[in-house]
Amino acid sequence: MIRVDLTQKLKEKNMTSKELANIIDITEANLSILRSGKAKAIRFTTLDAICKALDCEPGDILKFEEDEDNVYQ
Amino acid sequence: MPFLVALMVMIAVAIGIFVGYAIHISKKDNYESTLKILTVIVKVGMLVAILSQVVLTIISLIATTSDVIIVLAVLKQVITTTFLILIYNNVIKLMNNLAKKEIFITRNSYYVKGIGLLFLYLALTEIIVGLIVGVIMFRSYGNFTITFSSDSSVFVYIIVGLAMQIIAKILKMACKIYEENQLTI
Repeated sequence: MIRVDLTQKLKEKNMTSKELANIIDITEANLSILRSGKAKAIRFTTLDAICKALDCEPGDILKFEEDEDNVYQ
Repeated sequence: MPFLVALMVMIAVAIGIFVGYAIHISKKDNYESTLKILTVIVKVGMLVAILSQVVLTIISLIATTSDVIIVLAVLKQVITTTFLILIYNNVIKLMNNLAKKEIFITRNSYYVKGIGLLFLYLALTEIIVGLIVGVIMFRSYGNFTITFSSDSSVFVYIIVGLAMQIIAKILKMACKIYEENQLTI
């Protein structure tokens, strides 16, 4: 699954989730959904706003993790 | 007897106005007012249906002569009334959720599916009872006729039941799409 990993970038920028949510104009609840991996999809506009706010590339915040039930043995 | 005829005509006119009004407000686009009026209509309509089943039970008790047929008629009316009460219960739960604007939730699809299944059970009851009555009549009088119902309501039950199953499937799919949409940030 694809996860949105913001922890490291937020630390680097010394920014809190609340501040990021305010900058990119989404609710804290939605940012929490995004960070927890519950989100089903991310809009390009949201990704664009996050990258602008954290001054990074999409690849810096999007991580691929193998699902436990999708591992072929 | 003229009083009974007048009463039947009045009931028919009232139901006609009732259905006409339901069609009229269904064509309106205002969600809240339409839902509010439809809820009242459904509640009253279902209560009338349940009460009519109770009255039919009493009439069937008085009118029928054969012992086995009395038991069957009463049993059928009890089952039908029970199913109607369960349908009423599901409809009220569904209407309450719709009033709270909780439309695309999986629970609603289960309610619709439940209503559909209950209509199919009603049809099954009519068929089984009709078949048993037919066999009894054949053994008594040598004349086999399957009597589902005087107004062929069994076919209405089947069509409504199947339509509800389709709506439930569509609603379930809509819930999935809605959830994905809600979880798209």
